[in-house]
Amino acid sequence: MKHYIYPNGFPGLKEVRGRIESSCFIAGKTGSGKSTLLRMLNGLIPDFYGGEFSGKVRVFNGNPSPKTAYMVHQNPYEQITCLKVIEELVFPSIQSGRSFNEARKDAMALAEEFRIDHLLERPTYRLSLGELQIVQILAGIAAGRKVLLLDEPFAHLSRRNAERLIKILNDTFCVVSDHRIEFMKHFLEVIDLGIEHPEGGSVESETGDAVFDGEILLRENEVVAITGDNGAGKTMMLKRMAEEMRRQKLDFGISLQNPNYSLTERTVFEEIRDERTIREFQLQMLKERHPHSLSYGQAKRVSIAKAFRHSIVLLDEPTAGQDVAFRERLLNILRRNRKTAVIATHDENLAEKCDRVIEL
Amino acid sequence: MILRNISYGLQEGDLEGRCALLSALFLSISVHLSGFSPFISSAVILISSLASRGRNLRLVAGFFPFFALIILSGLFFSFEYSLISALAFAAIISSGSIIFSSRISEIAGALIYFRVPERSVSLIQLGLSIMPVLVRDLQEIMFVMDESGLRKYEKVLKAFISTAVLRALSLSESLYSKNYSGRSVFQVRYAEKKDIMLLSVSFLLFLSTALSGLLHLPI
Repeated sequence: MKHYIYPNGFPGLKEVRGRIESSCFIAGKTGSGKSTLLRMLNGLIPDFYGGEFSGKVRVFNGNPSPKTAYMVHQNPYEQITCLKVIEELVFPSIQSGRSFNEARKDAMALAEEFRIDHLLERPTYRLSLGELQIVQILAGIAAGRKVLLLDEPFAHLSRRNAERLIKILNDTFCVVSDHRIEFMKHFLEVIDLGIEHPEGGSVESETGDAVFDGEILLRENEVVAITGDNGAGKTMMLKRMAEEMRRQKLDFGISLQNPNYSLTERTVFEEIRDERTIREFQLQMLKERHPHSLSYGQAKRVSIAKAFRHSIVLLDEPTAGQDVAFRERLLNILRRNRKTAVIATHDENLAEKCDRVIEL
Repeated sequence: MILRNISYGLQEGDLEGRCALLSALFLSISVHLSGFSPFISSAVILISSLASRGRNLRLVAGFFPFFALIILSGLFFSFEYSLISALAFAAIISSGSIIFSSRISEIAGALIYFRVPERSVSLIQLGLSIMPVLVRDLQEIMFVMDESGLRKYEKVLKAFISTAVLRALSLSESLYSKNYSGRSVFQVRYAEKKDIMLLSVSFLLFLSTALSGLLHLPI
């Protein structure tokens, strides 16, 4: 394709040529156009989004269509269509004309293979983000389309679940875009839209006196990671700590998994209100943009930067949707600004660089 | 507290879809036909409490601000009128809670059984499925906001409206990706004894209200 410009005038992609013949991994930094490329493969761009598109995209010798390519989006909470997990799993298959009972049989077998059969009767809106991510991906596999497009499928998954998913994906033709390039080796083809390499160098800091004694003991300038499998209760623990800090009237800021919950102003600058923090988070180019017009990864970065107004920072999966370099940059920013932080994450690379790790 | 009650009230239950749907209809029509009679309203609340295992009371508690508004505006007429209106409102919410005491897929099955076009059923189903998600969004937004007083509510409203609009957009994007063709996820199963009991009691209440209205008997 020659170029694509979004309806709001922002450039999407330019001069992309290539042929994907087997399962493929798309790597690239935040905003490099990975999601845009995936959206072109199932027709979301330009059929659904509109905008200025020139060039040609063919999928299995036909026009891109959701009938051929099934896409699982970045944020699984935004894809909920049913109240129960089992119904969510069969929904796409039913749209292709299969009966409920037939689709349920296949979905149950798949759930058993992925060991999530205990979730089948649970309400979708009560699942953790990681569990819901698995459900949405399995719904895509169960739909049985020719191509499966996965936008950041590993972003919310623990290593164990990510490896389990890769095993299942071996039998399907899939195109995956993700920042967790450690999984790249499992794919036969790789498209590189500009991988950002780790910055290297780290800022050292010394921990001080205890600032919080509740769910855990937290010292000044200490960065603590909470790790665990999907659904282990990392977010719950972070929320309980926030409640306790609120009771103790401590100065803390929290950034949850969905960044939009904390964004209420007209521009990114009004949200963060500090030039230095904007620079540190490399948000200068987005300063005048409306926070809700940003991509998931960019909005997430704004929501983390907003929490930096406070001396204690609670972050839930801060590296989801972020490039490799951001993992190290985040820790450096935290230490440079002498922040006390608790990070709920399944990102092992990030966790091992924190001062302390609590495994649930 | 309010949101927690609404969230609990919107949880699915185990009533059979067709019986739940018909019972909810009979009970709410009874309240209207009786001219908001306190006796009928109380009966509807009692039946709903038994059928939904108290889910209706949690929903009623969740709608507390609306009750306060109804009672206050009713006071312009009379104290009695304001109480009767509040009781009738509680009865309508209670009868609605019976629908959520079944599974949404069974309610969809009931609508299809009663010959409602599948595309319309599917849209209703999507609407009902998104309600608990929106309640959860609101809970999370309330949790994240660190402001206090009126400023907090202004910010909560802003964030909630933006999130709801974004959710609507992403849902339509997701439906495109899932190749949505208007088909509904529905189930139909045989009614159990408790479902037949609920339907019978609701129908009797509806019948007695309709007859007393026709014969001009006081309720």
